[in-house]
Amino acid sequence: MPDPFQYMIALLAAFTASFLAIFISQLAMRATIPSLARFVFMVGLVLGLWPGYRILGFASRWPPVNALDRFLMIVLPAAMIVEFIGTVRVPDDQHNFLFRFSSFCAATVRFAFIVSVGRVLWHDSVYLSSVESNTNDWPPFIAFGVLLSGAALLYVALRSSMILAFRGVSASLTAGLVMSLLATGMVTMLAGYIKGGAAAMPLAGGICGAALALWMAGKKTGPATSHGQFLIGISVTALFSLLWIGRFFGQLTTFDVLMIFLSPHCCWLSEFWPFRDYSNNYRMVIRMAAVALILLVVLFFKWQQFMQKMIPLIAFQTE
Amino acid sequence: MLRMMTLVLKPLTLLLTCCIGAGVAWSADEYDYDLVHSSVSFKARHLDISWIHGRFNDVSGKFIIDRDDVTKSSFQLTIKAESVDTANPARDEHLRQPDYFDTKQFPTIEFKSTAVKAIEDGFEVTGDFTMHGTTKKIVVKLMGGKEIESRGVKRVGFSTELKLKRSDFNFDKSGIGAIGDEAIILIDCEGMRK
Repeated sequence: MPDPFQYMIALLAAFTASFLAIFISQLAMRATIPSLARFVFMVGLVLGLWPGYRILGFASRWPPVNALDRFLMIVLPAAMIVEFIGTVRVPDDQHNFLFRFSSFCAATVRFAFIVSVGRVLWHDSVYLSSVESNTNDWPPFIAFGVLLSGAALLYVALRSSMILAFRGVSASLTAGLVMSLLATGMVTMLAGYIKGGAAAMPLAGGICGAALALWMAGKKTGPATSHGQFLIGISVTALFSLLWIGRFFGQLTTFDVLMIFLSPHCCWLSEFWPFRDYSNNYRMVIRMAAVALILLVVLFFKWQQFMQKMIPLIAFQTE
Repeated sequence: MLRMMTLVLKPLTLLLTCCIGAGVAWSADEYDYDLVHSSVSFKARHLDISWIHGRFNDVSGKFIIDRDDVTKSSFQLTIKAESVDTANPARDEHLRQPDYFDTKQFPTIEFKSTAVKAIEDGFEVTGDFTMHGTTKKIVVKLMGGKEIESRGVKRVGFSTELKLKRSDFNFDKSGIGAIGDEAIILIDCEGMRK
């Protein structure tokens, strides 16, 4: 049975640990080279997530045997490395050949990663089994089409998020992503996949703690924009992966997944007429309200389904 | 000379082939799992006061029974995890999810024998049991083995019961709560000779 108290503890542990690790490291690293500061930021985030997952009893095992293991042991670390490479420019001069070459390498690595995420999460599952075996769910061309659509969706979401971040909407976007991660956890659990839903909780806590630490440290050391982009990149990839797992291994519907995944992009709303003329505070409220509204609609429908399908089972179990 | 040898050797080779072929057919019979007259069911404790029953509806298998040399016999069973049926569709959907059978990741539950020996009223079969991506060596006592011929088809039947702990097969702890860790699997199967 799910234990909401334990999820709350895991979320708070990840929040506190990532906040402390990143806040202290950002203050300590203010005078050092940017690449090293970014590396320390990445380590701080890992240190923040670790206690959250330990509290929930997630044990690391190699090789990973299921999609959730592959997410935690391959996709999440790879996403961190890709985002780290994506923020490193050597040297910091746009007209230098080395700068352009490092940008090209970073873009290539990111593209390869985006294309591989769905494939890695599907590894050894019925979706990729051969046509000859009678266990395959889909013919290969459908599986290929779904993988391609997933990669395209992730690419568009990452691009949209980065554009929003450059437009100065990164705080709202990060908050929207944290809300979406929380909603993913709840919806996945309501659909019956408890561990898959629980995996979202430390992520939401860790990302929230890291964002708060960046904001507070930024008041003393100046804003660290690349760290913010790093955090948004990780959050979008993590959200995509958890929803992909919930859709293809749990019982989430395509509607649930698309609504949750696209909800943070409602932050675009404040960039268009008539909202773009409002004050910053109003625009932030509009952004948050739009994201929350979509997530609440999805949660409401999932709750209704849960009451119809799962409550009789649980009532039977606790009688 | 060559012609003479060919004339003698040809029938001899033919005779030898027939004898070997007949020998195999007489001593080892190959059977297919008969889904219509067989069942793989299970039960697990609920709140440690009663039992919940379920079954798998999609099972296939093959047995080779060598009456002359039992050690050459083999047993193989493949269960489609997706076909779990506990007479409650909502619970079945829940059981297919990754907290339990994770049927999209581990679509089949399999048993393959590695050693067979004769015991009183049946066979003791040692083999690899794979469930939820974990393989364990187990020993099952297949009781029965009586052969009959019905409507021109030779049939053989076995029954067995085995106890397994879900935690031994990497099932998630969150799924081991009200439903007990230990599950009893009951297999009653009939084979039809190919």
